[in-house]
Amino acid sequence: MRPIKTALLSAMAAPAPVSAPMAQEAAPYRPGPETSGTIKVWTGPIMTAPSER
Amino acid sequence: MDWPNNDRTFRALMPAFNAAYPNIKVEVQGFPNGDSQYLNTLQRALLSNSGPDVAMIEIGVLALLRERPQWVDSAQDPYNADDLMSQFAPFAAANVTRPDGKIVALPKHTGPGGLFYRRDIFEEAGLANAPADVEALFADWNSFIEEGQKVVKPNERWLIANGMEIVSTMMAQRGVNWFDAEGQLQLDNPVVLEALQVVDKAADAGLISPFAMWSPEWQGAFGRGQIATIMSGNWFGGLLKRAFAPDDDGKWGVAAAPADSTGNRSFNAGGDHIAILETSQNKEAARAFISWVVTDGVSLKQQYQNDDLYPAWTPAGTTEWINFADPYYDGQNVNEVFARVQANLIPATLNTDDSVVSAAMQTVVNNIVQGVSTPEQALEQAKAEVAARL
Repeated sequence: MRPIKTALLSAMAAPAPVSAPMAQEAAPYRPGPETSGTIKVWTGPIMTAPSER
Repeated sequence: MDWPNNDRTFRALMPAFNAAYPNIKVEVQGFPNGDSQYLNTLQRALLSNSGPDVAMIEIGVLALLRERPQWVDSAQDPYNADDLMSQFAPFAAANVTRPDGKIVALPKHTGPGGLFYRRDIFEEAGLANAPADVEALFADWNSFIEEGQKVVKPNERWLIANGMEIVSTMMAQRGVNWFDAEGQLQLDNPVVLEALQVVDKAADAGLISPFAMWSPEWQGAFGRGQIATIMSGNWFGGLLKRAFAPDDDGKWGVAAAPADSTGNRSFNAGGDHIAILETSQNKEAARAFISWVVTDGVSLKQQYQNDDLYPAWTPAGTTEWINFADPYYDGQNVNEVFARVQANLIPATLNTDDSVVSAAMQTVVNNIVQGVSTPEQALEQAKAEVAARL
């Protein structure tokens, strides 16, 4: 299968936009921008393909 | 398997995330689903307290993983995410909230479902091809079969790719899942046999392709113009655009699925969630990351535009970046379909053994399509297979 390269590469190359919470009724708890550290994130594919099991 | 590729999605988000949080370094590791590798790896890590800080939980394994005690409870101070739950899609919020009120994860994306269809093939077959007209054409499952026959070319082109699409959609529209809320198997629910009978009619009419779902033949059939429609979650548009049919700009459209006997056309297919492990030594940074990923406008916009990931965060539904004329769909704003579906769908009941029943049903549905079993025989086969495995 062809991976999605073009869109992601262009996204990675683009300047980082300014981040802002969306309009909302209740603000989500969000640690401040000074928060620091290294975190590990694990992920699988979003949709479970039966043939992959 | 290169897609869906949550690891690449996360990595692509890093410039924007680090603009908001310059002092947090995120190390992303992706695992395939083959042989349940991600699920097994994560479960082993949970048991040995050796896991990551943050883990993604796909909807297919949520029922199993949410029972584990190793997740941070986001309902507690200082997160108090229970105040936020009303702003996530209600069914997604309910899925991450246990009966005791513990919130094990934040909803990330949902999979509002629709009928993706080839506008050009419909036109060639003499069928209406504007979304509203397609919904009128496919007013119910009988009309789907009757009118859908017009796009078929024997042994060359089919209306749908796989019979399981019919079963999954019809059951979801009626609010029937493999198990009910009490954990009782639902294969005796009349809706299941009804769905298998529709599969049988569709197969007799030559509407269903012989390709196994996710096989290379199935994937390639979309780009070859051999499949006229598919019922799936919105994320399937990402596969069409970037993997299966990238040269088909303007040829596809999206309508709601054929209506069931109650008039409901809505169903959900897919979704994911993101959680923090109790063993994390940096929960503040982990919280910053997951909160930003699922609620920040820059994050959600990028994920939607790059990967067609539909936000569980409902304030995103009114933004300009999700309501736009998409050239891939001939200028259609497909969120007019998906927003309606997300608002109206009946929440699914998830069970730890869903995959067992789903696999058994996939096998017997293929038997019906191949003319090996009647719907009644197929149902008995599925029940026997499930009984042997549970």
